[in-house]
Amino acid sequence: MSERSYWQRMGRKRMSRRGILRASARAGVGAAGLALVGCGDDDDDGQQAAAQVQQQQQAMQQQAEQQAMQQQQQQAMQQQDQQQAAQQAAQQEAQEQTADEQAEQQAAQQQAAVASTKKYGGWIVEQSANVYETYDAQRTVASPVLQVLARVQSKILRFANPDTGDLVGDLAETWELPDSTTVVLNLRDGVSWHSEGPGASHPAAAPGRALTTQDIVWNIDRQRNKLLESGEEAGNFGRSAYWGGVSTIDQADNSVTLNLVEPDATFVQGFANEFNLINQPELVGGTEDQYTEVDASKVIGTGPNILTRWDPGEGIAALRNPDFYGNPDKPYLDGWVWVQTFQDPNAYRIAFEQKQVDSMTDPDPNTILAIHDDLIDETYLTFQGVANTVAIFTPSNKAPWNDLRLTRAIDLAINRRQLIQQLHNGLGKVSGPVSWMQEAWAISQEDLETIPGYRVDKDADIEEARALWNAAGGPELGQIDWVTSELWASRAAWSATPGIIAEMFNQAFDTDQFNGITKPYLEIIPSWINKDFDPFFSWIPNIEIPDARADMIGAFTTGAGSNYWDVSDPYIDETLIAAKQELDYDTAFQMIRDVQDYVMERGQFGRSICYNYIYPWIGYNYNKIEKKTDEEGWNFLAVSLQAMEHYLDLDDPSASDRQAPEPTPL
Amino acid sequence: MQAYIIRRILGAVFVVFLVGTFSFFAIRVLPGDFATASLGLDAGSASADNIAQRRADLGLDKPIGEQYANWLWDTVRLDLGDSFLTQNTVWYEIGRSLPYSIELGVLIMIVGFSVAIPVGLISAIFQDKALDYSLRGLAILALAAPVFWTAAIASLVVLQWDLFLIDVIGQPHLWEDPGNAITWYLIPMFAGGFAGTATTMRLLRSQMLEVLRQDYVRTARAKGLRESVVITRHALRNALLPVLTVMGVTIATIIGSQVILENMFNIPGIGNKVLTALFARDNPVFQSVVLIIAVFTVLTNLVVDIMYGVIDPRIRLS
Amino acid sequence: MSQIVDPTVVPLRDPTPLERAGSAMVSLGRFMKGKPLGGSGLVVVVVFIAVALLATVIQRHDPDEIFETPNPDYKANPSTLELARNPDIGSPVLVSQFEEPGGGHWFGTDKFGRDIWSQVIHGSRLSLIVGLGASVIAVVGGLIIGMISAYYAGIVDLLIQRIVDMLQAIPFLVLVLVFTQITERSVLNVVLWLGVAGLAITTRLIRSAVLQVRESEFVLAARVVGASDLRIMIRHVLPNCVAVLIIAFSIGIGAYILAEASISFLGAGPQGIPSWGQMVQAGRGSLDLHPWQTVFAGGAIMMIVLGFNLLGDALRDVLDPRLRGA
Repeated sequence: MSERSYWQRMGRKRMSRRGILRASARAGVGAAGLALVGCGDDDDDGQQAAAQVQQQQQAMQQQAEQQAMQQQQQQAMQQQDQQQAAQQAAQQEAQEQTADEQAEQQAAQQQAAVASTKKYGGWIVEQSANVYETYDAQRTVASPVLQVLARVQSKILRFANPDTGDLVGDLAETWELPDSTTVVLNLRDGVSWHSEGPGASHPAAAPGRALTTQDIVWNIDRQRNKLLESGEEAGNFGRSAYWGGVSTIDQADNSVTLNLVEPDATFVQGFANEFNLINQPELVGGTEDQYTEVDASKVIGTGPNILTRWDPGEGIAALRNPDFYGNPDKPYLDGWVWVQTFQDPNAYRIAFEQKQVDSMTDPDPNTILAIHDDLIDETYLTFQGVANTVAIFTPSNKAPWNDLRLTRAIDLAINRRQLIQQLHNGLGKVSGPVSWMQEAWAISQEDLETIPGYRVDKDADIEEARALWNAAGGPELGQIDWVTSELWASRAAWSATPGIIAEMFNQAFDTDQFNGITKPYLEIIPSWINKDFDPFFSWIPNIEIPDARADMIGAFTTGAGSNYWDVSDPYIDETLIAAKQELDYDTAFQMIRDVQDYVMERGQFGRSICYNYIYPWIGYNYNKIEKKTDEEGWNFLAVSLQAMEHYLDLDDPSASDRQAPEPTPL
Repeated sequence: MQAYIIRRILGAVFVVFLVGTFSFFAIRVLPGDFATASLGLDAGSASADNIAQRRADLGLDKPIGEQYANWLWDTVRLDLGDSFLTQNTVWYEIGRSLPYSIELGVLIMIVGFSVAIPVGLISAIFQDKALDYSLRGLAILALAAPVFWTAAIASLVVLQWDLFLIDVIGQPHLWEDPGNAITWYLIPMFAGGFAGTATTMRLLRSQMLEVLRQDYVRTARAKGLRESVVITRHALRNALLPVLTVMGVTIATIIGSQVILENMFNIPGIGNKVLTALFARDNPVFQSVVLIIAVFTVLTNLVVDIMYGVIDPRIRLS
Repeated sequence: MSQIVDPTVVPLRDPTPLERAGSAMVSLGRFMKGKPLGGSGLVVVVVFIAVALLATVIQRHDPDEIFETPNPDYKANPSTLELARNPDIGSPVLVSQFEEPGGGHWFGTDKFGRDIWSQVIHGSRLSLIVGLGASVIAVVGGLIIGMISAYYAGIVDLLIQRIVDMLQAIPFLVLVLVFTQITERSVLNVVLWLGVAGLAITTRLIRSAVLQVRESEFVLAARVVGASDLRIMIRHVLPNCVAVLIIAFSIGIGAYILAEASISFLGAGPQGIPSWGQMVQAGRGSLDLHPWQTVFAGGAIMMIVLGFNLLGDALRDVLDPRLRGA
């Protein structure tokens, strides 16, 4: 029962009681876990028994200490709350202040509070992806590209809080919404393109030039018109649908005015989407015929880092931008080094445990928790939600699944909480049609518990599911192959998933019709687009911003891009469009909630959202990432935030035998 | 003799051509292509246009016959194209990864032969004795263990006791940083060494048994030569020859185990490349790497055959 | 089997089935005594076959069954922080994951709360099907192709030999990975492709044996008498190649089992059936905390491959004409 390692029993040197204590607390046995501390060794002798008693006492003491510490933390948090409330009250008095100014002020205060503790210098070594289809952030939908570029290039706005969607200025210092179809962007002064690095030395680049309104207009025009400099139309502008919402653009002295096609309350948040990066027209336009040849010399930006190396499959590096606009003292780090993806978790683990990389994640929480136990004095954990929602797709656009009774039976039979348990060690929360990560729009977990398909009393769900299944002739369907994506099943921890999914349905419907298979996304995704797909379980594409309205519209309105089920329902169309244009949050929330309820009553039309899991991230104590709370990271992509706030404390004892490779200097 | 060598070389060239054709079509027969594989999950946000554009950029939209003709002509001119994945030339990728594979391959062979030869030898000399059984039993036990299993357990042991640095990021060559390189290769070379030479050990044992029964061995013994001299000078030398004939197969086996081991220890070698390229549908890299491996084994076979032909005239005629 | 036939006495009449069985027993006994390693290999193989046949009897639990218990600590609407501190809090039932080996579960339970013992037991089915099935396909295919190649020398032979060379120039694992990805990865398809990938070796072995036999005097005699090619092949060549066939059959099995385990380990193995390679992979994430799944599955692979290798070696020693009578 004890989580202690078998290898530790064989004489580990790095053993720590605190680790055992934490581990047993994690095992969910609370006080009972305490009694287990020290019982890991089966072979008793007198000495050990004595040691156990001692251990137990120490452990209890430590728990008391921990509790005391937690209380202190809570008090501190309460105080913080009070302070914040006071701040807010004060800010409300100053009515003329715009929202962004407030946020910026808060950020400045926070900055002042931590400035004394943050340190400059050093570089971080992390794992990166190794497939990059282009260096042009606008001509792709692949997120790995963004993970690199968002540290180098800037967006019009950025998130102060990626999870709530609070915005602050980036390239635009402030913004105004004079009416429901107009957005005015006032550009920041003193922003210039990088003047050093490989990109700056490219013949086509304009290094050190100041940012102009024309740059912004060029970037927007290019994407909404899908036009290249050569005059050709290109099909792969990843954000063309979003920018297509702009009808005309006006430029003034230092501001850009966007006129929208129709009222869109979700539009402004899109400026801060990590994908909406601003390119330099000269360089990107001048190299567009070789846009798939990824190389640091074709990248220039205005962001906190300068890209110095981009060799896919080998390595990537970026160094500090010495004159980063507006924040002369940011970023804190001298640089970043990304090493190529470890094909095998074994290699990743070796690299982390031997301090060759500074952080690690793994699909299997057990791995991370085990490593944390090993290195309890040197590492810390952070938990964050994963924006790739896990879902079950039933092809309800064609027979036999177009019988909504079957679709609903499947939706009801999904044992979401059990899947979270089995696959993610309980680290995850069930999601309705809107993911829990979009906290402002999701149905609360309490409400979900009473909704069929999500009930805690799973037997009731299954009973209903079985009745529907039998009534709609489910047993006559013959063998049903349920696809899990190969990418998912290739993770060791989840390799048994196809069987688990099949077994879940077989049990629910008391049958043996379901059979688990795997397919690669390269087969799965085109089959969605062609609307001829197999029943499916795995991740679906990212949620990108905290506002859920765009995602709902994409999935459920007639003819929308991700509406693979051909849902066409006047009520849904009407309500979602109205919600998109609604500026009042409460009204819009209720509309979304109504659609969610409507959709869930119909088995989610085959788009059965299951859950979003939470994954543990482990880093060495010297590696200080920007976190949401003490133990929580950001659920949404927070690349540009991290690029500015991340720092290293190389005086920390854990940094003593670090083996990180150095980046090459500029 | 000359005719024989020419015949063998022509045969070898034909085999290489067959391998190239096979790998060219194999990677294209598999479901999916790089345009969709490279997007992974993000393909969900890609439109059909997007993917079509990508495919056109990569030249995957051309008819297969045209692609094949292009490939053939390019390959004959030794132009292997550019990797879809890294956009480097395939020659660069091979030049970068081949040294790692050769290092590991040689180390695996050293380990393998230093296990296989003594075990094969001793168990032949002490045929059906307790030593034969126990040595052979142990060796076969080690040979039967899947490489990924032994390697996983071994690397865990190293991590748990902090035994040595496995430099998966520095990726040092033996000639650059011998200390770190050897610890990095240590687990894969032993795991691969045990598994890669099963055939060698068995073959050597049976060859030794046969040779030891030959007249010339009997004569040597009758002459009163010491047993150790008889075995090393007369028996082993002759028994090793057939072992060399399967060298091509042995190398192929070793490369096979390298595929998994390089993957597990982040060794950027040929085996790692072939696996990555296969799963990512990186056609130029896959077909070229398979071709290079084939050239390697075919060349080994060719050299062995020709040397054999030189030694043993009967073979030339068959 | 009380009657023991003295094998030195040549029976004057055809042996009765009982006698035949008896003599088979005797030669089995002789084999076990003369080749203790091969004998122990045989025992291992027989045990695994028995386990596979009786899997549903000795499994104790369904391999897919998920064991779970109600969760007394269940809390609705946990925050991420609470979940991080106590991940189990969010689920009304707890999956009995990572139970230690014991009376309830002999080999413990895996991450998914399934019984490892029954998984390992059922895994033997896949390994045996793959090992034996692929070997049968490789030998039958190799026999046909090898005989054609050897008999109709010339251009046919040349072409077949070059194709065989081609298959052997590509690492076996890569070949298997490519083949198995072409079709859906059902057990049958994987077996088929493994057999096809193994054709090169068997074809080569059988061809050289046929070539040897073809030059022998009785084949020449038959040809002089005017027997047809087919008749010579079936009546004269085939029976004289049986030893080689048995060797070709037995030596490949271990390799096919390992190949299946390897592709399963890489996540590209057959689907919908417990596989040891896949189990080794699945258990690897928490190897230091919960080693049982990986250890038992890996051990099972090692044992079955060991069994087949030992048996194959011994069979070759016994059957290889060059060593016979030694």
